[in-house]
Amino acid sequence: MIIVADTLVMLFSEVLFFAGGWLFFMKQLFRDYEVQQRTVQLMFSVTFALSCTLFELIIFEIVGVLHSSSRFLHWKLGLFLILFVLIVILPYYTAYSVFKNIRLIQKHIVVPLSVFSWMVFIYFFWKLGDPFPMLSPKHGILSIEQAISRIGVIGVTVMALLSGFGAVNAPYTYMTVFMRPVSDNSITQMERKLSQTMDILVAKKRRLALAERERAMAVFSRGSEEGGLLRRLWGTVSPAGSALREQINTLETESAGLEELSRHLFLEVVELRNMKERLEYSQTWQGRYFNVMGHFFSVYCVWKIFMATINIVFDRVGKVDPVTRGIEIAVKYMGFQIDIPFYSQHISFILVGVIVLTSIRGLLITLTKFFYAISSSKSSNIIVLLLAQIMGMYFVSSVLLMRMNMPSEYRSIVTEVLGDLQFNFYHRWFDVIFLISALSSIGFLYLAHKQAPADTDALS
Amino acid sequence: MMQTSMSLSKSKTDLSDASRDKVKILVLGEAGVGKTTFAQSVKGKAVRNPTWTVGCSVDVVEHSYKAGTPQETLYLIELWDVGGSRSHRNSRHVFYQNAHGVILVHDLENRKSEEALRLWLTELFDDTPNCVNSPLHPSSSFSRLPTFDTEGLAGERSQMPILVVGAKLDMAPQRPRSQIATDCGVDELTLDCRQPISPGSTNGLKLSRFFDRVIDKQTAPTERRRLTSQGYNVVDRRRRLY
Repeated sequence: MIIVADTLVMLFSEVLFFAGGWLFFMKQLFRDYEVQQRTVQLMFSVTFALSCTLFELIIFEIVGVLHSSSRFLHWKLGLFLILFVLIVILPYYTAYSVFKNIRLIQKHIVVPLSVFSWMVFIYFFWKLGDPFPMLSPKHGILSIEQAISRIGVIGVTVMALLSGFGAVNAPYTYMTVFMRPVSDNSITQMERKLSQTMDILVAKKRRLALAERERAMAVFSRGSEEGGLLRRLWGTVSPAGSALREQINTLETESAGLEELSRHLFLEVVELRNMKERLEYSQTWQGRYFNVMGHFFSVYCVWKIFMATINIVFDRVGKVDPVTRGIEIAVKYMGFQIDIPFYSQHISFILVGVIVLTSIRGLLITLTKFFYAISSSKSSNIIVLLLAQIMGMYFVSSVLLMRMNMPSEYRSIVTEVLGDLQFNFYHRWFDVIFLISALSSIGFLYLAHKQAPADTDALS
Repeated sequence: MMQTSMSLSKSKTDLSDASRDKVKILVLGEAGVGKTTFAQSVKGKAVRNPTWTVGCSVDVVEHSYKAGTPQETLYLIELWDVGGSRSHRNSRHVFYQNAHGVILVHDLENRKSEEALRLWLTELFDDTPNCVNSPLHPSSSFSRLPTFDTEGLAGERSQMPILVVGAKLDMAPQRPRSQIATDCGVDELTLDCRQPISPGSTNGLKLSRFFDRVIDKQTAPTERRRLTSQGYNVVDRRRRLY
């Protein structure tokens, strides 16, 4: 009876999450496109709903809602379902969509081809486990642990890449120290240069159109006047005919050069205007707030890089989670007399809740930006499927890593379900990839900063 | 041979005449709807794999104004195919100066590209895209822009002829007449841009009529002045030269 009631609660929350994913898809992601295939939208929402259910179960574990056996049951069920979606359904449907869109492939071989590419995917997915010390050899081949360990590697890599880049990019974007000053004059000058280039280009194109018309008319008029194949051929190879051809070729080359120049100038104008908008934004209240936050973020970023390096170099393994450590410090050094289990529970709840919400929001925003940047009307469905896959893997591995942030009495459910995964390996792997990502982002941003167009006002 | 060299030198002196009659038509629409393919098909070329247009690419097309009548003249029409990427919105206004007509292209497969045409008209007729607080600022990209009164705008700026083109007909043959064409009371073409536009077809006639309307609006006062002062001879001289 209890199990039925708990299941109803879980179902209700799952429906809520599904609706949330559906709305997000319609309003934000597919803002510019018409939804042609409902299946894609369905899959995205299902992945999102299952991921949110996992987070919800962790929070229920901390707060103590629902019976522990039904929680365990739903954990197993949710994990199994999301693994099935991530390993079987999404890759197969992605391959199917790709092959359906290619025109060269006939209809009746699309399905066998998709099944074949799914098998190739499974093979590489399996091979992913070889170089990593992931499992204790107690478990069999087709267990949840095998699948989760591989998904965990991919998901943790994605998390660390995004986290590293985000940690470096946030201070760079928010702080005014990095913004170059742009005067209105330089923008106007650049725009005038662009207009002049376009005018010259248009004049050349007009001349080209007239010359081409001459060439067409010359061939025809000669043919009708004097008749005969030889006379017409002579018309095209004669000095006058070849002069015309040369003129056309010169005009075409010059036009191509001017087009390239106009594109370059246009991109410079875009960059100058973007910089000016950023400067204007930083003068507003929101901008100033972000500027201050940027200073804190840069300190946090440096600290994280430092800690990652220390962890790798000294092979440190964190045994105690931040909540228990914080409470220890509060009790020992500051002498507070507090009810440890009560506070530990509430603080873990808040900490885990904040982490879950910010990671969901952060990932959705990043996915949206990524989608706007690279999608076109043809590829939008396939890109959404790939993004759903990345999102699923990301959320599953956040559950893995979240274990470190919880006190040991709440870790049990995660450890029980996920078995004997080498959790320390995942933390180490996160640190390594985070370090690589952060350092490369610093390198790229430094190069990009140097390449930005200088203010021409100073030069003119 | 003599004739071709003579016609070459004639066409060189004619450039000053031709350049006085600038006819500029903008081709606008969301990214990826088929503006570049459309502009090339008007010129008579087929484009196999078009790339994203960065900035603006210009094509010059010959058009016989009032074809088939004694006043037939050749005009060189510039089609300015403006790239539709959202991230370049703040700098596009450079290309909009001195335009005489506008062709709005939308994708028949994607209804939202047609709704976006209203925003393009706003962008074209609104002179303040760079203000940080304006709703056209890219930082407000998550909020939907308010709809506006198409009829009012089209009526206000009825100086500029508009043509609506629905591309990719081969992918979505069932679409009805688009809302914006009805609102503005203008013609609409629906076609597969990879096929050439034959001059006698409905699409060819609509296009020709649109070009004629643009030229009417642009050259009407000076043309009439020239005709009354010099009579028939000016038009006759043009026809022989071209």
